Amino acid sequence: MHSRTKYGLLLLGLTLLVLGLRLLVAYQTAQPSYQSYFTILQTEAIHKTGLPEYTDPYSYEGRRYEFPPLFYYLLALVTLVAPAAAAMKIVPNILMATLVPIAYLIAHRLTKSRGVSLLVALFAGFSPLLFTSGLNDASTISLALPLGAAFVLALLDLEEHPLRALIAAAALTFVSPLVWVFLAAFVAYFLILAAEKMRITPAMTEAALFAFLLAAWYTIITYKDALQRYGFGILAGSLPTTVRLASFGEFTLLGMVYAVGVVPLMLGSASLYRSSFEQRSRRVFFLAALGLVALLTGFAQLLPLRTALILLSIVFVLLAAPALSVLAAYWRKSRFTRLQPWGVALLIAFFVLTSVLPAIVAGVYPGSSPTQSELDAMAWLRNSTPAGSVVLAAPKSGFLLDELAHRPSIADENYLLISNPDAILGDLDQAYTTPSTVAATEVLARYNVSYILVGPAENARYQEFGAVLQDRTCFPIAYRNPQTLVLSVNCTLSAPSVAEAR
Amino acid sequence: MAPREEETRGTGSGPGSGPANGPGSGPGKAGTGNILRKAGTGRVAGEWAARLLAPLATELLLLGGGLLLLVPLLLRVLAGNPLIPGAESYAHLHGLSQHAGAYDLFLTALSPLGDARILASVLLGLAAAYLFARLAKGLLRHEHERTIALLLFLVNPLFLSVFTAMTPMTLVVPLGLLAAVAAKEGRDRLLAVALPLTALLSPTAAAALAAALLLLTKRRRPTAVASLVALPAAAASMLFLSPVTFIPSVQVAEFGAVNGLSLVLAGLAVMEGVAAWDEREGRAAFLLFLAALAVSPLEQGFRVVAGFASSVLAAGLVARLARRKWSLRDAQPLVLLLVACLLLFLLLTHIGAITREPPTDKLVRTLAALPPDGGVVLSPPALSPFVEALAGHPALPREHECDSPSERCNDVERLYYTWRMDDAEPILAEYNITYLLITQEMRDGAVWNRDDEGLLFLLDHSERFKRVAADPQEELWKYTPPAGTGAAPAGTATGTTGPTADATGSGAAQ
Repeated sequence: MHSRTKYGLLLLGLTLLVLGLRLLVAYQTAQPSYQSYFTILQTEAIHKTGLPEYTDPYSYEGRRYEFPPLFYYLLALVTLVAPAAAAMKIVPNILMATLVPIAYLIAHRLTKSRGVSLLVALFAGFSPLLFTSGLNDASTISLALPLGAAFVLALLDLEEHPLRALIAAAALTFVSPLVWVFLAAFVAYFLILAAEKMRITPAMTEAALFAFLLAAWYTIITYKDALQRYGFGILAGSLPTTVRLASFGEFTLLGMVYAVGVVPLMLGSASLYRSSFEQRSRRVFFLAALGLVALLTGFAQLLPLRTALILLSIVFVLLAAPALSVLAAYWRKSRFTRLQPWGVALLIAFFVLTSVLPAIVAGVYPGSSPTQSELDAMAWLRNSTPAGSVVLAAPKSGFLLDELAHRPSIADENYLLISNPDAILGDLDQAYTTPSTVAATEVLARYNVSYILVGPAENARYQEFGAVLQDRTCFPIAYRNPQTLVLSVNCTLSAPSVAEAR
Repeated sequence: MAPREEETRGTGSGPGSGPANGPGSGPGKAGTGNILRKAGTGRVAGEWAARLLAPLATELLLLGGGLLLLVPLLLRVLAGNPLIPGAESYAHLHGLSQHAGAYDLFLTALSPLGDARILASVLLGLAAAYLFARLAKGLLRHEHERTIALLLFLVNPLFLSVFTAMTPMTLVVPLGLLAAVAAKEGRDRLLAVALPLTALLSPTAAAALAAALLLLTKRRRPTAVASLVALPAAAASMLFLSPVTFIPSVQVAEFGAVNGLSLVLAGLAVMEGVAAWDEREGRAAFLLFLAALAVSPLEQGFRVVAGFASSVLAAGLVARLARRKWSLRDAQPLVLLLVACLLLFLLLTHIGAITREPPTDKLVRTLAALPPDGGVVLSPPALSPFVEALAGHPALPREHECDSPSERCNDVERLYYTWRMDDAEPILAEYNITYLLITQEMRDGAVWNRDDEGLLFLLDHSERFKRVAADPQEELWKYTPPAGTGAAPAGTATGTTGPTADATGSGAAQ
């Protein structure tokens, strides 16, 4: 068999294996993640009106969403022919599985070695954080990551196929603000080249200029209100303190080793060392710049920790290619040429033990998706409560209430353009945990809450509940199933609600 | 297979081979037609149109600039809000600014015109645009660069915000440009007059301008003489007229600041600076621009200089992008289109921002509900010029009063956050506060985060506060002191310290 065909088939097999395993793990839980219900909401809005829902119809105080809509259009297209719940699981996994062939192609551009490229494709498929991303979560990052990788690939072929880079940059811009990380990487790349006294190619400058102007224009249009509200603090300014602390957590070396995987991290680091001190390569420098930006933005808490680690994973996986190539060349020159297949097998076994197995275990994470009992509670709320009844629930359940119960909640997990999110979350926590019925009722009256949800999401958020679970007179059980309770609010205070006071 | 190593240490190409074309690599004297041909878009019709329009471009753009300045003012009229935009306008129009500067004397001279004085700003804007075009003629070699520079000057958010309001900058910009033109054209006497006059109105803008002229023009002696003459003017301005206060505040037009710098233009200017780094003059101009940009958050004069300098540099970049031979041919028209889209969006957004700028019709209606008793109004500092000018009531605190800490401002803050009447009443009595203006922005985080926080709790639950105006956005409350409390006469906001302790509102137009 021709070598190209053989490796083509192996790559296809690997891609299908990654996809199959992803779907297998994803279907260990019946429902897509809580966050995915926002995507379902948007796809349904697109089906109905042709446009995404930029105004939350079930928001307590009336709120506006700002986001790039391309990902939701893609899913709306798929949900024309497939059930929404299946599409929310299958499409993100297909998109993430495309990282495997893209990583192969990038590695091939870097090394011209098919064997090495196939190993890198394996790393891309099973690097722990890459494997768990988009596994059960229909969010924009599952499209943004392959597009980002495609952009890197197109940049490697920039001189030959410039249009591909322009298209990839445009697609990434229209999908996710993650494009700004790539733009920062361009700046870091140019600085590295200047420091190394290497020429900056005009084509690269032009591609960066195009990407920058497009991203600036699209960001100003898409996030106009948010920019005017938060200014430079748009990344962190919109998040409540508690959420910010959780999302932009401490960047630790151990966390990075776990997220990236030991093998790609070691090989990638070797490549970085070699390109910095021995043999300079523009291509490696661009990847290094991308990694540097991800690292710095993670440290500076400008990018959510998980996103920064995902980007680092991609960078180290791709950087593993030159190191593997050098290793292979060195091995061929040594006396142990015959043992090379055993060496590769050993490397793969080590990778399986340190990355593949932890990735699969991490993928089967209970609690990222709603349970059937929560869905039943949503159905009850929709059918048995008056329209417009405000439901107190953990922010995680916010989109679920929007999409399935069609009832307003006081908080969800999208905090952009929310007035005083800290105060709202503080009230929410107080309502659930205060031992005083009067204090709880005061908060509930402020938001006109009629029902209180106590399900797995609320149990995960609160260790102990206060009066809402103890005072059956004021908060009688309106609905119960094995895992979820819905309490109704019977007591009222004469204090004016927020809406009335205004 | 061994990896393909592109460059090994010591064999890399040297610096200076970047993408930027060097000076003079653009079109020659043949004019716009050649440019279009070199840019690869040289169609015959385009060339002829460019040749025909080129001589008229400046005049057409100046006409367009004049109309552009009228657009936000007309939009305000159409929206039922014919009032002049901007708090600063009211501070100057009604003699409420803390220190009467040279600009206030200018406004006094125009006082017979009444509110039509805003047209003086528009005319000064036209004059500034003309002077900028004349300056560009001396600075930029190619006609198309000059046209682009003028276009970017006109779409600069600062051009719109300065010349649709009544601020000293309406005089500073044309006078500064006049000084620059005089320096460029060798008119030393004019320079010796224009630069000191600029310094009298804005010492910071004049200092930045003098530095630029000294470093960038070849005729340094006359500039140095004019700068020396300007020194006493600047000193007089700072000592006797309007002291310069440096209060750091980053204002960005794209983030909704009406008087802010444009990030887009500043970004394009920085790119031009990087691209022109190898050109000696370009490097000096870029470094000066960076210095102005760095100090621009400190004071408006610096911001205006940096803002208009960004137009010139950005024009250089746009011209460079249009004339260079691109490696990625497909990207060139897209990049130019994106620049145009960004600028158009910026312009439209800014026109919208000026149209919505206070005083809004809601604020005017709310203030109209104030009885003519001259009672002190507790209001956000940004709205105090409107309270004083439109309602004739003294406001507490006054604009910019709380930019630096003072006892009055501390008391106001204590009042906002107390929920005890026992704590609130002494402060209300001390400053003789009768009315309280509460806006939606204050409720949405500017002051409070909850609707039952601090003073809001008292407003809702104390009988001493009665709502006077019921607009949901702008609330007006009246405070009635308990019987027997000795209150100061109406119209006097008493207090302890600070140069503006007596906010009597004298001079406020009724």
